[in-house]
Amino acid sequence: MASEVLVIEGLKTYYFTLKGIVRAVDGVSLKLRRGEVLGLAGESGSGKSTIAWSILGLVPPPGRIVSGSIVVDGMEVTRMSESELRRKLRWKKVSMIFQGAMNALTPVYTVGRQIEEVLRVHAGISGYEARKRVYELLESVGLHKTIADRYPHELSGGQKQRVVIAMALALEPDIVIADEPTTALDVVVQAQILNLLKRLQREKGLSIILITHDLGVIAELADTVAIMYAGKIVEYGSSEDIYKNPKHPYTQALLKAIPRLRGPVDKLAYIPGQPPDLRNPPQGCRFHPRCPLAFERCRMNEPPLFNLGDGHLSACWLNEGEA
Amino acid sequence: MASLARFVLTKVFNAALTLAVTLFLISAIFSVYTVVEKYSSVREQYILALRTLETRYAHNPELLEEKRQQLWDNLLSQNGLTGNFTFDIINWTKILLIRNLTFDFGTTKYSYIGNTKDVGEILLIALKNTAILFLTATLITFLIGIILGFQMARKPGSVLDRAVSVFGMISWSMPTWWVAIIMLLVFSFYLDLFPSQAMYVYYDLSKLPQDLGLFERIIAQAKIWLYYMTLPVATIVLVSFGGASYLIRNIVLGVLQEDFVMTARARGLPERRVVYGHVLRASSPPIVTYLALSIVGAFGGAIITEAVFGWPGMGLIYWVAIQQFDAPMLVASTWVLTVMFIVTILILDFIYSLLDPRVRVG
Amino acid sequence: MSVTVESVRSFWHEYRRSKIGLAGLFLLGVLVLVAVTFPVIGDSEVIKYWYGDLTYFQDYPRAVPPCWAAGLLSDKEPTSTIVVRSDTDPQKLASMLYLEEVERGELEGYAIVAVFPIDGDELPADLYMSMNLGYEVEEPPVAVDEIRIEKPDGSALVVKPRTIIIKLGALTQRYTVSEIYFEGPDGRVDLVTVKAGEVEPKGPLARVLQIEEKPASISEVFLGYPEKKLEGAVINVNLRSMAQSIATKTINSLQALKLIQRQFKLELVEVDERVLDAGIARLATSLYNSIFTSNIDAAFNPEGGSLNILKGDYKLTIILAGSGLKVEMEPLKVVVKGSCYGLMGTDANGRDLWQALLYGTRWALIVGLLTSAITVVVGSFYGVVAGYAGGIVDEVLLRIAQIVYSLPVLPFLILLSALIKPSIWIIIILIVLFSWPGISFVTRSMALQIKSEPYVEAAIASGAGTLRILVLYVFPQVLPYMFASMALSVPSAVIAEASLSFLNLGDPNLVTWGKLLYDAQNAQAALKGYWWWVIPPGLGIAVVGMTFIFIGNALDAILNPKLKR
Repeated sequence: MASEVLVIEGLKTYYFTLKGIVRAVDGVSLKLRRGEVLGLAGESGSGKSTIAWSILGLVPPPGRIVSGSIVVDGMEVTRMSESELRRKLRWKKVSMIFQGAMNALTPVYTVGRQIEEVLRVHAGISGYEARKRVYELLESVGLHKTIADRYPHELSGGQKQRVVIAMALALEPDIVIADEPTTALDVVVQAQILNLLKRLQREKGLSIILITHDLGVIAELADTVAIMYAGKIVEYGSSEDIYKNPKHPYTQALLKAIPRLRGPVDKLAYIPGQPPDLRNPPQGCRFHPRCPLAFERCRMNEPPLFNLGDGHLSACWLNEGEA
Repeated sequence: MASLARFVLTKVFNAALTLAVTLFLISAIFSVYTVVEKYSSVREQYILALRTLETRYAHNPELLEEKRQQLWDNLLSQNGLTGNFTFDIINWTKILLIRNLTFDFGTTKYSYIGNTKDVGEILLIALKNTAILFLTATLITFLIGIILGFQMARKPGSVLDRAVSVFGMISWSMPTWWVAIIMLLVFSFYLDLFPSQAMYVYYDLSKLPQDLGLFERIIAQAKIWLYYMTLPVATIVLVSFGGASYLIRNIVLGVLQEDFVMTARARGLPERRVVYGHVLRASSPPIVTYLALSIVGAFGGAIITEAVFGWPGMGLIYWVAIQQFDAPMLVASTWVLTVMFIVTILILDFIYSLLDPRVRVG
Repeated sequence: MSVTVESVRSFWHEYRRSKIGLAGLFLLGVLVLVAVTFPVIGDSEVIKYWYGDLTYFQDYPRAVPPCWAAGLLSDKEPTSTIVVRSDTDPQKLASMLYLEEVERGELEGYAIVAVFPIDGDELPADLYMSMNLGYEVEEPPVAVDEIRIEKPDGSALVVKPRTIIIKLGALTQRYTVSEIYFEGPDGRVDLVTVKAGEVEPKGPLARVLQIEEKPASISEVFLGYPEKKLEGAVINVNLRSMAQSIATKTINSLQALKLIQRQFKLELVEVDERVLDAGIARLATSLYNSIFTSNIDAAFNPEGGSLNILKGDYKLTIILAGSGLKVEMEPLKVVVKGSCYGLMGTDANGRDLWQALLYGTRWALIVGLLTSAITVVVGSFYGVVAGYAGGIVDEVLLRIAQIVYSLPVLPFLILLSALIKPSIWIIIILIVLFSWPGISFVTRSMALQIKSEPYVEAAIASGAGTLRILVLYVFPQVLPYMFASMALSVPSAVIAEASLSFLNLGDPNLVTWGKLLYDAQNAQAALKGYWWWVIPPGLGIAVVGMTFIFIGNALDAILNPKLKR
């Protein structure tokens, strides 16, 4: 459908290391509609960022997309050449908001120049035109235009994050992938950035994939939520469904682990054990070693994503009946 | 920018401090040496003259004593001494400090380069020649190092990478001046391609006919320079480019793993821009630092290499001065060399600050 | 982090994976072996006399390549250097140098015979013999009747020293001229023929002029020898100087005789053109060269073709004759100074370079290891103290280190060495003096960083003293870096010392590789193609450097996995 800007079908992205094959993304299917905010949640190492890099065709070696399809606005990413990706896809159709903690901006160029560069390379705008546009972009993220002549190290975490957002929006892409946009920022700045993202999404009707391990952030922004575990999607549904009615034990455990300000003081709930080694995931349901509700079948067979109606999917044997 | 000014000022201050300390050290050391020498020479002359005095005034012990004292005092004052060792050292140190500071080195009785005996002029000529040789060689090494280093960093573990790395490790353990000797052996003795004594470059230059047109003259001069300079420059480059490539390769490799390289690619920038724009630019500060360090390291060896080729630069000055034991010349050379050296490093530091905005933070 | 057996084992396991590191260790083993076993595998005597009594080396040819290599580079076979001494091989010597009685008419004659084997195509540098000689004669003088050199092909060069005595009125002049001719299968080739004996001055001349020809006396041929009696004395005879003295005397006498011949129109001496062409400058060399070849023209005319050295035994016979002569001779030494020698050739003084190469290993290792060890220890301590102390102490210490660091090392080393003329130990200290700042910067940063770690804060909070913290927390982390640094700074230390030696500013009593190169440079070895002198010492320096770079590189890779990609 025309309203679907991104369709991922059965994506498998593996890293072929000397110590074994890491199956970071092991059969993931997603859809993103125009103007929708999809939250992709999961622990670190669950493969969320790999999906992001796969969409851009930038999986770092020794990684590779092994199979599956990624269709962005009619283009099959997995079959595009490097130069095609560069000219047609990256930043024009899909852009990325990087983590503020990352060294995402080149330290030796001014911030303004880096944004200008993107405009020049992709849109052919330069000189005075480009400058004007850079100021516009900076203002749209709440920064004064003098920031353009600053170097990255001269800016605070929050300012850098805003610059990154401005840069991601420079070419008005179809899809924006926000990878941990608020991690490593202090809580006050986090709230500011979240508000900014909300406003921009509303104003421009952006389609966003929001990748984070922080369920609170997803709750603020996302329309739809996908929960990832060990390279697979274990639950998928509308924000409301997921938060009010989680069906997968993992989701339930995650939600329980969020400490509440109000309510009786309890022991802190947590999920025992470690995320599995993606070179050698457990047999059957990947979550079963840590699942409080696991039974015999979970150990033997891997559950498929059961459709529980209204676009709510869950991959747990316990949900089989409701499908 | 205020912070840039502050940065530069700090560096200048440091350099000045280093120069001051060096000036003092050199003057003090040489002063001690000079005073000791003078005293022993005074003593020698005294003993020699004493005998004559003793025979002449053998009959009059009081007069003898008087004459003896006179002799001693005369000898002392002739040599600028007072008899008080410590005072003399301090005094001489002051004199030398001023002389060095004003670059007033007097004359030498040995012959070096050019037809002059004025130490200042000699050093100027020598410095110019050394600069020509060293700068050319360093520039070429640098260029090769960047080109190779980049290639090696982009394909680590490749044949090129490993070969050049190993070559770099091997060439770093060879004295440059020894390689120079080998080059002479191969190219001058066996192949007879290049001259054995580079100091004839000026002679040849002066033999050019006067009536050549400007363009012809330049070509002819260039040919002569090339003929004499090739072997020394080739030697220095040969010994240095391996290590330079290896070090630059490591720097670039480190930069390539930085996040901003990946994000630059994510932005759809052409690979060429990523590498020659972002990566090169971000690597250039540490490369400049490395350049400064390598100049520091290679300098000594280059000087001696000059001497082997007979290139009329500081190396030759040192060689001759050591043979003739012309201590004042050695001191003057060391002082001048240090000044040049520190100024060069200062300039490089300044370039570094222009390249890396991060250091300009107050 | 403590150093346990476990950690050592895992470290070794890591290290083993580096091929370069293993190569370095192997080389190190070889070097240490050579350095330690030198007294056994090398000749310490050579080193003892290296700067001492150079006559120790007079038997050896000067500036010749090693025998194994000389044959490789040209198609000519090298001529071996053979030294036979009475103290090492008396029997062989007796067969090579002996005394014989010969018939000389009414006089007694003795022949001193020496045999020299030549086994190559190259001209030997010299032939040389040493003996204890004594003689006595009833009627002086002892005459030198003949000097004959028999070549392996049966031909011979014969020299008969003669004295021409010319009495003109009251004046008597003596001229020593040698008859020189070659005996060969094609007959006799005369170079100089003395006809004075046959000349009879005629007419009025006969009253004033008297000409006599006699065999030359021993003092006229070999300057300074007594004519009547010599008590046993050690005599050295070498062929080149013999040729030189014969040539000089002959030419000088010929000049003088020319005048007389012209004046009195007498032919006293017949001289071949080639001798006159050669003159004093080249006659000695030509005579010497002609001994070893059958192509006499080539010997006298450099463009006459190649020499074609004859291989085999050459027999030198010196015949002394006199009335009632008695000669005693005890052979001491026979030397063929060939065109090659030993494993690494010789330098301009005939010194065996292989020995110097072996011996130099010792000092290269000592200087390298000691210098870098002290530098690293001093520098590390300095840096840690500065970093940990912080504040004004850190500022001051840092400033000092920066100042020292920005000085040009070698010019200063040169200046100081020239003024002080130091021993090797002072040199080591001087090098350390300029090298320590480098590592101090790194250890300072390390200390700064460790100081801010929570576990250190905790330790301080629980009352641990500074020393305890330094020893328990700081140094264990700095130590591995110190080792890598130590290895990596050896090459520059070795090169620094070698550079000083190369400029002749090193320890004057030590035989080091740098010094060898200084000697080579002075003798213009590179421009004369003496590759065996010029390549090995530098190669030694390079090998020592390489060894430690390999090791240091492997260590660095283990400690700095970021670069291991």
